[in-house]
Amino acid sequence: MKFIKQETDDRVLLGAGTLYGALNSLLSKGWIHLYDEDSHNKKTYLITNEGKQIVENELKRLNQLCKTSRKIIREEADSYGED
Amino acid sequence: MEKTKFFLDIDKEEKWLNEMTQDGKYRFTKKSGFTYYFTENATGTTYHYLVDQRLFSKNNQQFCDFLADMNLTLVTRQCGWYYFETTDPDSAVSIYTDSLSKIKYYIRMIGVLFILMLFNISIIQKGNDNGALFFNISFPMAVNVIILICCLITTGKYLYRILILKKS
Repeated sequence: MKFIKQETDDRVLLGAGTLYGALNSLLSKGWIHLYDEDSHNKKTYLITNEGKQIVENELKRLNQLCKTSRKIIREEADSYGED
Repeated sequence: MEKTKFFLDIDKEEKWLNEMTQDGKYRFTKKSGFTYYFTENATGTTYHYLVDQRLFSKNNQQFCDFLADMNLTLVTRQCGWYYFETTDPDSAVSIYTDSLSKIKYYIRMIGVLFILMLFNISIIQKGNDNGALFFNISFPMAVNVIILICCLITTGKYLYRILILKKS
């Protein structure tokens, strides 16, 4: 939770209940699996191949979104320059 | 220290608990009936409190263990209400931070209020026939009508919060 807060400059705050729900959702979709559980019920999860594929597809989608946004901004800037 | 309070609004209850302990003098330890018990806090650390309602939820022990790993320790539980404490300000933000989880959280609260309202209505119906009279008004009927109105108002508040979350 601290990591997410730091990485997003306090923009995204992740609550423990939200994280619990997200982990259960990822487990039910088969995108992560339980790797280890210690005597204190502390669990470690690992991403599955399907999960990795989903992350890669999402990265591609976000990169495409950034590329298109930059293109639109550049085109608008160029059209203002011509005026 | 003991304080007796009755809350229908879970957000108000959480806010009140944090107001009671914000100066670091007291620490919430137990709830019995409508009474909240506080002990003097000698550690000097301020404790933050978060409340969840999981009356009809599954895997509650698993949920509490997970929250304990996230520095949210279970203080006490009562009839599906779970009280967590933490000294970590990052963990004290809220249990649910995304819209979908928050909407589910308010729907769970509306469910409990709905059951309470059904109980009230059944008592009110019986109150018509008998029950103690106070200023010529049936006492159980008057009390239950007030509780029923409070439940309706709180349900309205939850529905409004859900609407705001859906819009955002």
